Amino acid sequence: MLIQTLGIIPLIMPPFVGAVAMALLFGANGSVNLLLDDWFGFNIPFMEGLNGVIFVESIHYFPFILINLSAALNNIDRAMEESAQNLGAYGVRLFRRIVFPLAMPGYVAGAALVFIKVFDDLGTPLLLNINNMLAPQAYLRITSIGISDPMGYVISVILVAFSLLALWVSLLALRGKDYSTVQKGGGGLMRRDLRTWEKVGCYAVVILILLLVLSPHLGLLLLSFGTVWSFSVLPDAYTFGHYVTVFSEASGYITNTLLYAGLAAFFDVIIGTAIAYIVWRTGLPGRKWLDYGATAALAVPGVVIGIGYLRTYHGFNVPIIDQPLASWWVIIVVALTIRRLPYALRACMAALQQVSIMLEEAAENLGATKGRTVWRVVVPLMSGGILAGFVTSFATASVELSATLMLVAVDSDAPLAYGIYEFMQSAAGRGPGAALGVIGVVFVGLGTYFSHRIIERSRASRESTAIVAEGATA
Amino acid sequence: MTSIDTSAAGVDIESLNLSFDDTHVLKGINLSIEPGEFFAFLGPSGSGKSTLLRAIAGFGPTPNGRILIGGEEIAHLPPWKRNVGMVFQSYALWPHMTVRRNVAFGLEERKVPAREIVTRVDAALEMVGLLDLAERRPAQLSGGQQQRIALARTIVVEPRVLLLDEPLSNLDANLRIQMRRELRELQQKLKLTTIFVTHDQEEANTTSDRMAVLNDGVIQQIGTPMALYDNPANLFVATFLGTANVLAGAVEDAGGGAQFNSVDGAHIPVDSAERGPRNLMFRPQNVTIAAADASADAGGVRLTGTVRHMEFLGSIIRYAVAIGADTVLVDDRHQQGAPVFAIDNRVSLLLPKDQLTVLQN
Repeated sequence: MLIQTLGIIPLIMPPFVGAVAMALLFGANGSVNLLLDDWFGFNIPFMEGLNGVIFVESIHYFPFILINLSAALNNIDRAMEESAQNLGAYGVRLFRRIVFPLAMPGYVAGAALVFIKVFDDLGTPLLLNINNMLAPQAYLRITSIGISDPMGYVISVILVAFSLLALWVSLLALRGKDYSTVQKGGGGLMRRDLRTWEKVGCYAVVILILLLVLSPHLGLLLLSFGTVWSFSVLPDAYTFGHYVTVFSEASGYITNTLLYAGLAAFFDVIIGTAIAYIVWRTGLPGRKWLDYGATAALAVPGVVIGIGYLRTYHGFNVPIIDQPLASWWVIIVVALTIRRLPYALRACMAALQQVSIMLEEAAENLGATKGRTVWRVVVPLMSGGILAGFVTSFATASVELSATLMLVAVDSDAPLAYGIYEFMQSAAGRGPGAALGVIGVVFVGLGTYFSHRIIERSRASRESTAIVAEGATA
Repeated sequence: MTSIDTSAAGVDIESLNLSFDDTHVLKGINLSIEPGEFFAFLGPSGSGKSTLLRAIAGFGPTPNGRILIGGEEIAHLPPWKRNVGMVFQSYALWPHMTVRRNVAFGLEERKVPAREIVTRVDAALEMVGLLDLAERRPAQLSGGQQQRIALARTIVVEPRVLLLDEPLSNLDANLRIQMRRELRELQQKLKLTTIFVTHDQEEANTTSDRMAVLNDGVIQQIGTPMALYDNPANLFVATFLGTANVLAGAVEDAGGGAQFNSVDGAHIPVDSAERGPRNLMFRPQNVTIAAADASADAGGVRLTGTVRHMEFLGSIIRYAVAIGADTVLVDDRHQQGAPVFAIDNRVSLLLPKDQLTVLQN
């Protein structure tokens, strides 16, 4: 449990924020290499060039794979493993022939998702000064040469193509292989009792991984409280000054983020609920394509959305306020809404599937119209899932950089992630930037925690629904 | 003839105790199953019957006590070294393998030569009549077919004992009846020691040579289905196996013989050497319902009461008759044109003495 919770924390921070902290911990003059140099007299070039990007991204997205894999393992019926043991398989062979193939789809799906996310990441390579990757190239082309440079668009198309390919691979991995084999009764693989030395070994490995995974956060925390931190293992002194700076100068970033991400998440759950209802409860022709279309947004890199909106609405002036739509802050909300729709949609669909159609039919039988039924029965029953969708969308939107970097026209309209990025550009801004990052992590972390609590509570009061739903499927 | 060749082994369980954390699930189980016997563990859910089966296969917490198969102690062995075949309730066919690969799995783990694997898998699939489905995936099969494949996968390795964990519970009613016959036939053909776990007394009655009734982690009684039905050792066995009328009271001396006096005032002569507080049990079909003025045969007992309910069940009519404060169920074989006793009528109930069973409290 603890291992899982701690493993998820990195997801609520954009990877580029961690990149700066990691540079300080693992870079050529970072803490780890200074220690290694002192004690053993050698360095490990963790953060040199492409290594750095790979290192940061793999640590950052490790939890993604963890979540996918643990879900996949949880869905394997214990009897699958037991029947193999009963027939003589054990140990490594058991894992290789039964457990691993059954968990494979979850594994591939997780890997494909991470591929898309890393592929799309703009902030990390930019901050680490690695510009010869596709996403940074697209950004730099557009910002330095100009909006009419065709290379930016070519790169965008390539980005989309590769992302779609990865999405397709993950779908291929999952298709026809719904191995979630849990029957009523025992779910999940059996717990193993380990011998003492095995336990010690396991904990040692787990702690090492956790330290690695959490190192960006520790680094960020130190950075936000530290005064000067260079060529030393730890900062020279500690101060609250950076937080003061942030609240006096940069509170606009925070309010902007709350506004943009809140609006985007709000629209996401409304659209998500509507699409989920249309797909699952109506016979509308082409409803499947609505689902595919909304999900495909997952495969469109943020940079591409940014560039696309920038180009399309460049010459389009909003009538009343009389400025181009492309540089108005509303376009950021629109971009975030599109970017995060797939998350909200998945949550809403899952929630709707849990609501037995008999509950709706009962309401209609008692005289409620379709609309009234949705409003009074379906939406309340879905509220847990809708809330989960809102929080996921909100949390991920508030740390989004790839799409917004393109679309922010004036600093006063910029959200949190953009602010952090701006701060991090200069050595002096790192302290306040880190402070802003910590604030963001705390915000999103609290939001996630409370929504989790609310969902747990409402689930407890809704056991009866589960019974009805079970009856419907039996 | 079949190429599946099993050598039956007996199963002996000696003072077996098992706990999940603080819950004592199996309490002092002693059991001896003959080689080639079809044995059923029958009990309600939570009685520990599946836990006992899993303990024989080597799953679940390590029990205290001894488990012997063919005289050999196996309680300390891991599941993969026991050579007991188990068919799981969910079948547990691996979805990523074809039927053939599923069935071949156990032989591959035993390092059987590839040529022999092919012939033995074919023979096992032939035996369950599904050889033509060998290249399918489990998801493409019906429930009954999956069940047969699971069975083939288990018997192909020629286990010393076959364990069946509620194998019929996921099938629909008609298929269940057909499959339990097939199971019995297969077991007879292979002469394979078989343990069958079920909560359905009809399944246990129709398949098994002997059965053990479990409740609350304790074996209540062991015997043939008919012996247990006719002579239940206690109230639980009596009521779990079919419908039973149970009167609370005591057996006391009366005129040189024994008489059962119910709490509510019925006096029934019984053949019993014991005295003291007891229950009297008899089955609804062993009671005859008659007009109020009918008289009992020699060796019979006559009670009078009032009809309270009547249910027409097709082959029988089931009456609920109030005798004092007790209610007795009576099954009357339905014949066309036979008189029906209406509700609130006074009636006689005729009980043959040899159909009465005195039970310990």
